Amino acid sequence: MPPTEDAPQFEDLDWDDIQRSKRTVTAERAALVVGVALIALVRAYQWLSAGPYLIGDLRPATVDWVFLLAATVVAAYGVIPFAKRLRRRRVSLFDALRRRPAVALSSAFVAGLLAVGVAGPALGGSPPLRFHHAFHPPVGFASTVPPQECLGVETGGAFDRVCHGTWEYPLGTNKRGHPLGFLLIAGARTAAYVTVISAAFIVPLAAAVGVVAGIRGGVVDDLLSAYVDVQLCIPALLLYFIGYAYYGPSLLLLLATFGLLSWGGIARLVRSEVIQRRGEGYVLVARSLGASGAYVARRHIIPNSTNTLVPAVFQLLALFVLIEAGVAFLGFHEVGTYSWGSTISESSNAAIAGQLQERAEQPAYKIWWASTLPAAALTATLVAFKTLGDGVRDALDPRGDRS
Amino acid sequence: MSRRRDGPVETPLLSVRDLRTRIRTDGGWLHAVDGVSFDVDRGETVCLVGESGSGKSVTCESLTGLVPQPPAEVSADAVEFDGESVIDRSATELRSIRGRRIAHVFQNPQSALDPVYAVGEQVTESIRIHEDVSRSAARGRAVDLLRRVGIPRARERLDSYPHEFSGGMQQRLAIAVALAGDPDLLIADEPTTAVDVTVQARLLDLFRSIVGDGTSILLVTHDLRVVAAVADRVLVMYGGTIVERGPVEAVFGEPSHPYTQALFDSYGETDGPSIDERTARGEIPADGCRFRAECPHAIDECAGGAQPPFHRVSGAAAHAASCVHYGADGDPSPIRENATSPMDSRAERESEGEIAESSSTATPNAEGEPR
Repeated sequence: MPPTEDAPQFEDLDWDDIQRSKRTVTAERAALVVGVALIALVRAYQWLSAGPYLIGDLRPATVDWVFLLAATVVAAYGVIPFAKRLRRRRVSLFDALRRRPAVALSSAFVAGLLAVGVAGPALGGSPPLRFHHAFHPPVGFASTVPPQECLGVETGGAFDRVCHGTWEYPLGTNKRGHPLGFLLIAGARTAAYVTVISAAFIVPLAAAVGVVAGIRGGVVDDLLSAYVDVQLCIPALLLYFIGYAYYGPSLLLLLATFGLLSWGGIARLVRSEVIQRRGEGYVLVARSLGASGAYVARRHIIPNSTNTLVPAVFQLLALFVLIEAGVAFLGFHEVGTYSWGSTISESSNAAIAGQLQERAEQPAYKIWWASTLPAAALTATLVAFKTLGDGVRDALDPRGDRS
Repeated sequence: MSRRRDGPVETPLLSVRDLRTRIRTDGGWLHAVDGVSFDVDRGETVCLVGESGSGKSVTCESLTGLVPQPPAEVSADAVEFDGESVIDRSATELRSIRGRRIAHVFQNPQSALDPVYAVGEQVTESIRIHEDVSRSAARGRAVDLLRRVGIPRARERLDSYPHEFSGGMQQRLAIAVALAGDPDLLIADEPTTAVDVTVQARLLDLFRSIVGDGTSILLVTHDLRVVAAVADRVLVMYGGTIVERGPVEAVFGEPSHPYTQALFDSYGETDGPSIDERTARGEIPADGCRFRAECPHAIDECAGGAQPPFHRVSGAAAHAASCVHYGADGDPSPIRENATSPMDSRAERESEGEIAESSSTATPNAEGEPR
């Protein structure tokens, strides 16, 4: 019989019964296990099959496998808990996004970026070199540096030819005749790799160190904080160049050096946040109810630290995209990968030390699309990540949904 | 309704003997609790009163090891709960007692609830901490709990967040959190201090009904109206020691320790000299009677050695004060003249209930005694 308002029935608890219902399967663990198992299966299939190609001319490299693993981790322990917390809200995700179009736009952009990352291997390798198609302008624009073989409408005389854009190359081509559309998407794939792999690596590391230092305090805190301080003094770029000297250019090497050396700032943020949260009443209440330190950290301290953790992480990921573009701009990237940074670099006419490329044949302003479009994509990525970081923080805070 | 309160009747639910908690500070050891002994019987409400800093809260948090150690150190001759010693338990064993057998309610309701979770999830936290339970089972339990503490429209409010409740409702929720594990003893540390008087009265009703269900309560407060309303027995604390103990009618009717009298005077509006004139504020000594530096009746025997032994001071058998004047050689009459019951020091107390009336009849008519 259900208890009535007047005479509340108050049953005794059967602790043994509760003991038995302890769950070991959660959505997070299930997603992680399924994802890792799938990746392992495909990897084993590729290993056992004869040729170097997985399907068609798809040929995943180590970095692709690392990305897929990282994506699984992010999905299992980032997206699923986030979705779980949103589901308990009374304000629906749709309404919340409609009220904040900037966040909606940013999340669509980032989702597109990540989708390109996952679908990236299907793009295959580089398109063929077509020097005779170099410097096609985007559709609707004209170029005074016409390609040898202009596919669009051609105007002017033999010595001042002007080539107009063609739907063959809607966003134009660069000096190799690579379509800008392909370069942008390939750059987006690199950006997705950078963000997802470093997120899967940095967030657990920074959160673990910050939480342990903040909760344990004392000698543990002193040691961890001192280590973080020392680590923050080592320039990651220098370490990458040292690695570069030994192993040559590699996206994984870049991510490893920056990932290993850049989580310190977030760990410190988390630590100071944890030290604040540690003194909150609900932590004492949880302890008075018999919670262990690990439970308090997982259930109360970390969820209440997301206010600072989430925007800081998104900001750092945006910064990583920028750093990777910078390194690629300087020419220290893998030749086969197309980063937005390297695309910008190839279109500028500055002579860059240490770069194999000669001076660009044309002044940059005449072939503006080859640098402006990837620069715009880079800017959009940075803005989208920062906006999305703020949006996720607000979405996680129940005090925000006064509707 | 059948409850798990059928232990041996003769042993008290909680028995504390010589509890000491010291805290390491930059200036040496601070003896926050310095030899405290008391019992809490089954279905009884015991109030711990005293001024701020007298060690009330530390006493409560020492019982279940909530005081962070280090910097604190807790020792005791015995802390027995339901016949079993809890003082020498490991951290894990202590955790299994907290929430299930002994639960706490704290002073500030605003910070007692985690802002990130809906209240329906939080009230069942003590079950959730020890085990994972299915969501529907937990929700059913949560509805019962919210109704139990008197939250209207319980089922609808399960999905509300703490910031959507008033302070009084938040304190009810905090009590619901504590009750979720079906504890035998509820330790409430100034639960009514942060809420206004109307809400306070309703919370006290709630505490009475909790005791009616068989749960014992150890209530820390410095508000004597709260004590009068709910207490069965009173422990008066000063400087980390208990200076007077006894049934609430006896202590209120015949406050016997000079500190108790000063405390009660400070509450009432008396015509005589104020407490500042009667007493001199000084450093609290670390031995003998802790109150002697401020006590108008202090003599040489008050200093040195351990805290003075408890002497029976009035008709009630359990009413005793830790004061040398009540010993075989002492003469308590000058102290007794100062006795002011908080009950008759304010006219409004009359309306509080039968406790006030019964104690005012038992009080010697000695209000505002000038020195």
